[in-house]
Amino acid sequence: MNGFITTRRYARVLDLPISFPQTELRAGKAIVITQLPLALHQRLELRALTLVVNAILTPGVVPIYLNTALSICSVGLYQGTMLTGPLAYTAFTEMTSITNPFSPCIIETPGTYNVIISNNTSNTDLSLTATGAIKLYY
Amino acid sequence: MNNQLESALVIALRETIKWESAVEASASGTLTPVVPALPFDAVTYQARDRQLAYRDLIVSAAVVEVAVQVGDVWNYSTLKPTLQGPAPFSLPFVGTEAGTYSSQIRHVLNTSIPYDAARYADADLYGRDALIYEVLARACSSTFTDPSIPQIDSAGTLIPSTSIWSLGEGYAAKADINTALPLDRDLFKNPDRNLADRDNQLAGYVAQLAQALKNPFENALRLYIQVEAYGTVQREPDIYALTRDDGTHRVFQTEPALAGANQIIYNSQAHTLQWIRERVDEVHVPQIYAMEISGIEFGQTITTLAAVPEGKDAQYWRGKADQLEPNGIKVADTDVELLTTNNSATSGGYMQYGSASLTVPGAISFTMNGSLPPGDYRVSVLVKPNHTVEIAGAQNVSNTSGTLGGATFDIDVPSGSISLKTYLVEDGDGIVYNGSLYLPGDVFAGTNALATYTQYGIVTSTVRQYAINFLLALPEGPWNVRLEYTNLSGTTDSFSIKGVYTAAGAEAVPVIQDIAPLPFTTTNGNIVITPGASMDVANTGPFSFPIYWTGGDGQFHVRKLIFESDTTVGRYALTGTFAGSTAQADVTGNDKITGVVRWQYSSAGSSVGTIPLIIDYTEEPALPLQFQQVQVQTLSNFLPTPLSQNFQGWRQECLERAERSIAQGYQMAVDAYGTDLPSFRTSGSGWSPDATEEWMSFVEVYNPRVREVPAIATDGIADGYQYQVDTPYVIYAGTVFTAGQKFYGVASSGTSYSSGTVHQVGAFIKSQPGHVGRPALVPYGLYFDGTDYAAKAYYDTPFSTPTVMACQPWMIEYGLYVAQQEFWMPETIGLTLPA
Repeated sequence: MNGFITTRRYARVLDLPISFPQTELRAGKAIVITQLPLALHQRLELRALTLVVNAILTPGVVPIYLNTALSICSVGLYQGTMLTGPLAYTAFTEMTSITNPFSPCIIETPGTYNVIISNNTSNTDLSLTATGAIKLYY
Repeated sequence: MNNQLESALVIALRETIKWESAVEASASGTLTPVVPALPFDAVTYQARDRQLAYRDLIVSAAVVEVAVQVGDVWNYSTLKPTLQGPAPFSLPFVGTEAGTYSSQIRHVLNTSIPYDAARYADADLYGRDALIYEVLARACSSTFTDPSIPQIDSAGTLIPSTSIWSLGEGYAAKADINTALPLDRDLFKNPDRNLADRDNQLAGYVAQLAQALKNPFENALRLYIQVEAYGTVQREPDIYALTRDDGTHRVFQTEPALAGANQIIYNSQAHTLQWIRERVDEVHVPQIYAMEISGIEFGQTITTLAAVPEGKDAQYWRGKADQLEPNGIKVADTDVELLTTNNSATSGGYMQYGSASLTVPGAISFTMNGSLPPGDYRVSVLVKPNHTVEIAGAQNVSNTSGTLGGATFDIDVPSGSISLKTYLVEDGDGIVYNGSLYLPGDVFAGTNALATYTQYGIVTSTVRQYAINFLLALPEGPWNVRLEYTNLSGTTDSFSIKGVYTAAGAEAVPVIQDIAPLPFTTTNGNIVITPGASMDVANTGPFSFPIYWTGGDGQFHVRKLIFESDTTVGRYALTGTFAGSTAQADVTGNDKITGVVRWQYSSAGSSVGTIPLIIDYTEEPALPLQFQQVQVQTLSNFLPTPLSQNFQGWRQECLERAERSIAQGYQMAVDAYGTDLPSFRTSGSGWSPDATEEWMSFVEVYNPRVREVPAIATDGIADGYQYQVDTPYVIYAGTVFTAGQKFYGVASSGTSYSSGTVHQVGAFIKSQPGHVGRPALVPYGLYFDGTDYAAKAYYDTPFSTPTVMACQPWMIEYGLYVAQQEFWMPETIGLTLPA
């Protein structure tokens, strides 16, 4: 279980998939695709988040960015609602974007955590898909 | 160590040093004395020989003890004799008992008298035992950091560094002096020859051990290597384990065990050592083996430590994490930052209690200092939407300041002290100011041009300040106003206070009424809060809000003006201008929930000196926004370590090891304090930034290198903590340390240093806005209470174990610490910045 002196042992682990099927996301919109309340003595590990842009539905426009730090679209894990302060995120810059699975985002602080996907432009509609995996120890 | 006993290497060793007839000798190291004037007593001679045999057993035990230490340090089993019983390993020694130290034995001859056996043979055997032991002890002392056996002649004044070795006519034949035997030469010589043979065996063992100590690389299964340059430890001691031995090359490797890297290679033919680090851009020229050899760079040394590896702490794992660069985008901190905004670095907006703010759309500017190279930047700002707007009293526009950020009304203003304020005349017959007469109860406006007034009439009047004015803007809609006030001097039981809202171009609207005096029934200096008063803000333009002190004695003091609405959500479209370019952020915030607003920029030029960040809040006016901290980071590409494809998780692994070491130390501290454990929570389960610092201090009890603390005071050096020099040099305990060098605080060396500045070394650093999502060290059970909008600690100290988890915005506000950037990994994989 755990060979070191810690106060925590977990009876079980649950693998929670994050699955956001191909969806049209209008310009400037953000959707909470997963909401996870975390209680004391639970541990959340976001292992991976993947974002795919299937299609740009507003061809021929130069995107106007609402959040330049998040590129054209992004998906991230949040405590709160401020899109620019994700605990872990990936933003679309090439064909597929993925969080670093070798550096999982670990949370043991009670609270409600959201996975939010967002279209960060004011003039470009997108077709997006997001997937991911969360491990919940409890 | 010298070449003593080298010739003993040829002796065939027996597995056991037999007990034979040994008897325990005096603890002082003396033998049973022989008095030649007395009649011959064989028992006395027998006792001496048996005591010498026991001293052999002590030397044997010393050999075993050193062999065990060799095993502990080098992790391989050396030759060691079997003992037939327990014996101490520290040889007592009395110089007057010893004869020569040449390793020869002056045995008795046919022409000898019995006393010769004592004064020559026994003395030489005694000296021989001492010589063998001392050779071993000196070898041990010169090799090990913590030698396992003590020397008997550490000054080296008695026992010489003899390089001659004789076999002392040793012959393995158990024999004792006995009165039943003929009194002839062999009665004495045979037992002595047997003792000489035991010494030969021990000399053989010691010679073997000395060989192992002189060149541990021939046999070691583990090395403990430290690399340093100019007195600065570049790499803390690392364990290199033997991974391959082809008969010529003995390859030792440390973590991260990259293919062909992080190795020490001992060539047993050429007797050379070569170091290969994780980067192979520079080759280390093999060096003839030694415990300390030259490294790759000029001035660099590679030292093989003869010590048992100690437990590793978080700072060690920080160094190890830094030995491997992953592939991806690197985010790095810069010195361009603002840790607080309620200071002169801020321009624009409205200054609130503790931080700058934009209560309505507008522009605010933060001026930072430092230098930035050309490239990509990330600017992160810690913000807090807050429908409670707290304006410190001193933020008035009536030139009135006061204690603790408040505004203290002037009383008994003498002539000559009138300035640009509003005053009230009290008592007497009135005054004349600026050509006008003011009777008691009259209010007049002072000017800077005329500071004096004159009394009018016979009875003297007094003058006190009447009003202070605030300028502010708020989102339109209903607001509630309260005032924190107190009395600072004199006596009063009430104040009459009036507050008026005056929008630009509009009629003044009384908000805080002075119809009924507000009681003041507490001690002077204690804060009293007025009941809430409602007001409607007509538009987002600036309005004035004067506070009038219309009645009551004493000295009125306004600590804070508080406006509050019931808006809970706000949208913020924020344009940030930095380093010559602009970027957008469009976020939604909830009341009293701290967040991070982030922009990214790209600049072709470098920035040096004053570097402003201008934030233009364009919409929507609903929920005021506080700006608490600003941090600038650079974005670049990691230079990935060659052949590290299978080590992407290395930094995370180091972080987890650091966490475990901290948690173990914390548990040790909890155990050590027992029932006297301090609590860091405030008022029940509350938490505060001060609580964080106190908790971190507790974490450091057994983990002194956890927290990096900048700018240590010149008398702030603490025992066991490590410090690194920031500025050109510092002097501590008489030693000069130059920039970058590290030293440990030592109790006997005092707490003070001089000249430059130092910071405390640690694996974690206080969090800033750019650190959101990075691994933070958090007390287990600490959480943000969404009802009270404050951090709470569910557990008290025994269970608030340090836990590494993702840094959340509120953790930054509470001053928690995050792992240093050597632990950081790319946020995403497979991406790099365009060239």
